[in-house]
Parts: sequence; structure tokens; C-alpha cells
Amino acid sequence: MLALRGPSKAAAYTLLAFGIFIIIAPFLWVALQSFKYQIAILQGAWIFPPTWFNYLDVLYSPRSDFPLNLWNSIVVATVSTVCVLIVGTLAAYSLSRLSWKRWIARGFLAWTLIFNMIPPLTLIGPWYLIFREIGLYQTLSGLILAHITLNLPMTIWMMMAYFNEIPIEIEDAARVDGCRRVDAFWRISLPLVAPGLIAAGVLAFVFSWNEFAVALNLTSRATATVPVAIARFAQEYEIQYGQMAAASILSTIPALVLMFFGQRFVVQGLTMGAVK
Amino acid sequence: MAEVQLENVHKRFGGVEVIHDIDLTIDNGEFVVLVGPSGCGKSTLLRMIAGLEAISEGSISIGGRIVNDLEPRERDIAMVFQSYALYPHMNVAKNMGFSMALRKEQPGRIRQVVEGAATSLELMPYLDRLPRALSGGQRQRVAMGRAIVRRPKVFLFDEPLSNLDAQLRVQMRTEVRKLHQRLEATSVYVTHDQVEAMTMADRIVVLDKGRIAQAGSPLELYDRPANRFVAEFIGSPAINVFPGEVDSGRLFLPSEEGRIDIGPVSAHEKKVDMGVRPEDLRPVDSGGIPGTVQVIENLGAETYVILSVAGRDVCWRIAGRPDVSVGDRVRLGFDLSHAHFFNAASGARI
Repeated sequence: MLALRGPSKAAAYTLLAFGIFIIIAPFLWVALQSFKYQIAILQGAWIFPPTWFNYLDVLYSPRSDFPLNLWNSIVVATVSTVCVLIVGTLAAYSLSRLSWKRWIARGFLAWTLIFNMIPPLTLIGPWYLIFREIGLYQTLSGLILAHITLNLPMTIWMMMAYFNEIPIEIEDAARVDGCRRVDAFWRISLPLVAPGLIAAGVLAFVFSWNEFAVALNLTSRATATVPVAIARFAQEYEIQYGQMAAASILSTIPALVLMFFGQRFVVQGLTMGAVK
Repeated sequence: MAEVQLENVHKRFGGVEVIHDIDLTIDNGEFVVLVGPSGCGKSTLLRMIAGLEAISEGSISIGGRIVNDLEPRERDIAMVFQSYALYPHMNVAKNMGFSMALRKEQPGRIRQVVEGAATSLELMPYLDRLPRALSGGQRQRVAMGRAIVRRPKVFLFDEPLSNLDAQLRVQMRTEVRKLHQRLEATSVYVTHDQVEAMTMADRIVVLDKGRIAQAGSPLELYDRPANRFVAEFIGSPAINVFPGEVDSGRLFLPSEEGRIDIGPVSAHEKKVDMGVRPEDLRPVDSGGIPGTVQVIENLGAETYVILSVAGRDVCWRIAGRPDVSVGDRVRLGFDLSHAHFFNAASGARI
């Protein structure tokens, strides 16, 4: 690795500090607002008496749906992540290991890539019509299905990179040792791609947790997720800045915790195959 | 132990045939080495015996039972891979005992068998280590231990020593051979290294472009190669091949001094290739084939002298130290009964 000295080192650290500031500053600003009363926020005060009012209001007020929204988000993100991991891992294993005709495997992967490039907003219209027909509109199941569809391509690509890294001989050895193919997958390949499962799981969970556009259009007040709930603090005649900031900060906690534990695997997963 | 029988075995990948009509019987307890250059189909053939590759045509039987449609786990075989193929998330003991654990044998019994194999392979101190904490040689021994613990009818080895350094390779060669003598199991060993084949095999099967070029004991192949391909492949340094012409029942070779009369040959062909092993060459005062010394390779106990003869390199093997120097003109003779003659067009032995 290149070791920086003198002015280069100073410039590098300055740039790094600037980059961190750009990322962290908005978050800190929102965190600051969450401890202010509405009036202090509107006045733009820098010196203010801190309060937990916004948090208490968001979490315990009888008129607040936020705990329900939080629960909805947990259900949607968890169930969609589990489903995405199961389907994505099996699909990736199949594409990586089974002898599909090349055009089938390539075609499938190209389709997932193209699907990943389509803006989710263009899918909302068809989904709205389909879900309304089959009774999934404004249900958690509908949103879970939509999130599975959105997150599947990325999961398949990531898991394929992990499976491709495992030498085929290891599975061959397991099959000679007495495994059926399914045993070789379960006992040998799956434990070896565990870091990939963690990385793909963290990313799928965070994407689902933060997803706004689809959730806004396909959920009702009872099934809204956290990002939708945060947006709803801005009403036509009143914007509850304090509550909005408090809800935003609360909503980052699960994702932050997951990223804290999973970031090592996420970085490894996203760069898999990039360097040997 | 079991006999392995291959009958009219073919393998096609799409429209490309890579194994052509192989017929081969490997006897009970025999150590057979499949050898050939890269891409000759030897590993594919081994994988077909293992059940890791489907057979396009023909049949393979192990112990009298046709195994064409059986899964690898049902064939009662063990395989040692070139890349070792150890399970990275299991320690040495679990790697070695994996097949027994799959058969749901008692943990005490597994431990006993694993420790027995580990003792014979000097792996006892490493039983709790993960494969990544082992050296290449130790990993190779674990792979062999795993095969031993499986107690199979047939051992399959797919270039197991290729990833080891030269010294360790020689050592492991002996280990594999000792293992075979102790277990007396039928073994099929694939390698591209003819020295490995010569030193380890009861019988060598030389493959060329998916066909058996010759099968026989190492010395049979060395002394009476069935064709030019086998003659050139078996032996290190390789046999010297001189292209010649037959005229009135006598073989003539081109040289810098014009055509040299080598002697009578019983060949009907006009163009004949003559093969002479490097150790069969000897210096002569007159006659023989003239050449100029280009390179001298000293190995201590023996020396390889590379000469230029009519524009082509010829290797002369000397026991001990040479009394020639680079640039010397030397005349090389040989006993005609030690020479091999091949049809120049087909390569078949005459």
C-alpha cells in the first residue's frame, strides 16, 4: 500500500475529513433538530433547551402510528430479506453449478440486470393494478412481494460471485465422500458462502427498510412503513419538523446496527471477484 | 478391492468427442496410471469412473456391478484431487471423518479410524487445525487420509502431487506407493508426469487425444513403445527421433556429411523415423552420427549432453562426468538392436 508523507498526507486527511463531514453533517443536523421544540426549529436556533418531547410524542402519543409503522417495517424488511436470501441463494447456486444451457443462464442473468436498471417507479403502476385485482393492494404481503422482486437481482449476482469462488472440486469431493447433491449444497457450499449470505442479507434488509416510493403507493395508513410514516409528518397545513427528525433518527437505528456488524462482509461481498 | 472395467467408453461434450472407445480392465489391487499430455482426456476418464462426469456411450463396472447410472457416493470409491479439495470450514479430523459421519457411524468409532489414518500419515498433531493452517504437503496428506478413512473399493487420484514442490513430490510419490502396498486397493492414478507414471505404476495406460496409445508395464512401454507418441512421451530425457529414408532395405539418415548408412532395416515404408534413447548413444571414433556439442547439463551422477545433429537437438546421456566441452565435434554410435523404428506417416512401430 502507498504510504503518504508530508503535504500529501495532510491533503489526504483534509479530503477525507471533508468527505466524512459531507456525509455526517446532514445526519447530525437532523439529530440536532430532533431534540428541539418546533419553535426552536422554526427560529433556526443553535442554542436551545434540549428535549425528548419529539421522541416521546412519536413513540407514545395516542395519535402517533409510528410504533405500528416500525413494526410494519420490521415485518416487511425481515420477511422480504429471508425470502430474497432463500430464492436468491438457490437461483445463484443453480446458475453457478448446474449445467444450464449457456443461453438460458446468460439470458436469465441479463434479465435480472436489466430489471435492476428499471426505475421502481415504472413498476408501481402495474403492481397497483395487479395487487388490486388479487387483493394484495395495501397489504404487507403485497409490499413484501414487491421488495422481494426489487432485491432479488442484486442478491442473485452477489451470491453467484460467492458460489463461483468455491472450487467445484470441494463439492465433487463431498459427493464422492457420500453426499447427495443437496447434502453437498447444505453441508459444504452453504457454510462456505455464509459471509455472502450476511452481506446480501444486510443489503437487502437495508434497501427494504429504506424503500419509499413503492411503499408510499402500495400501502395504507395501517400498513405504511417507516419511510412513508416520516413523509406523513409533512401535512398540508402543518409540518411536524421535530417529530419528523426524531422518527428519522429512530429509523436509522436497525440499519446502523446491521451495517455495524455486517459491513466487513458487505465490502467483501461487493468487491467479490474484483481482485483475485 | 474390486476390478474396474471400462467397455467401449465414449465421452462427448456437445459435438466434440473427447474419449474414443476406451476398453480397459484394471485388476483387483492393481495400481494403474493414466498418463498423457494436457487435454488427452485422462482426467475426464477418471471423473467418469468416479461418476462426476456422465458417460456418453459404453459401460463402466466396479466390482462386477455396472455403475453408469450410479451417483459417486454409490460407487464405493475415494478420490484425491489435485487441489486437495479439503473442506475449508472443517478441521483435519472432521475432514477425514466426513464420509463416516455421513454414514452416521458412532463418534468413537470415527475418532478411532481417523486417528489410525492420521498416525500412519503423521498427521496426529494437526487434527484440530483448519486446512488453511497447513502446508501443501500436509494438506495433501489430509486428502489422502480422507480417502483412506472412506475404506473404498477403488482409490482414484487426479494429479494429486502436481501442486507440490519437486522435493516433496518425490517424497509423496513414495508415500502413495507405500499406501497402496499397505492397503492393496485397486488404484487409478492420473498424471501428466511420466516420471511419476514410471516410478509408481504396476501398469501404465498412455492416452493420446482420448484414445489408448498403449497400455503395459513401465518397462514394456520403455523398451517396446507401440508408436512414436509413446516413445517420445515415456522416458526422461525424451527419446531422440531421427527422420530417415529406406533404400534397398537399408536406413539412411541425413547429416552435415551427407547421407549416413545406418544399416539394414526390415521396413517396407520409404520414410522411417528412428528412435534412440539418450543412454543408448555412445561416442565412436569413426562412423556414427556426427554432431556438435551445444549444451552440457551436469546432474552430478549423470550428464546430459545436447548436440546439434543436422539442425536438430539430440540428447546423449552419460553416466558420470563428460570428457567433452561445448563446441566439440563428436561422433555418436549405437547398437541397432536398441533402436526403435516407426512409420514416419502413421507413427506406428515397425
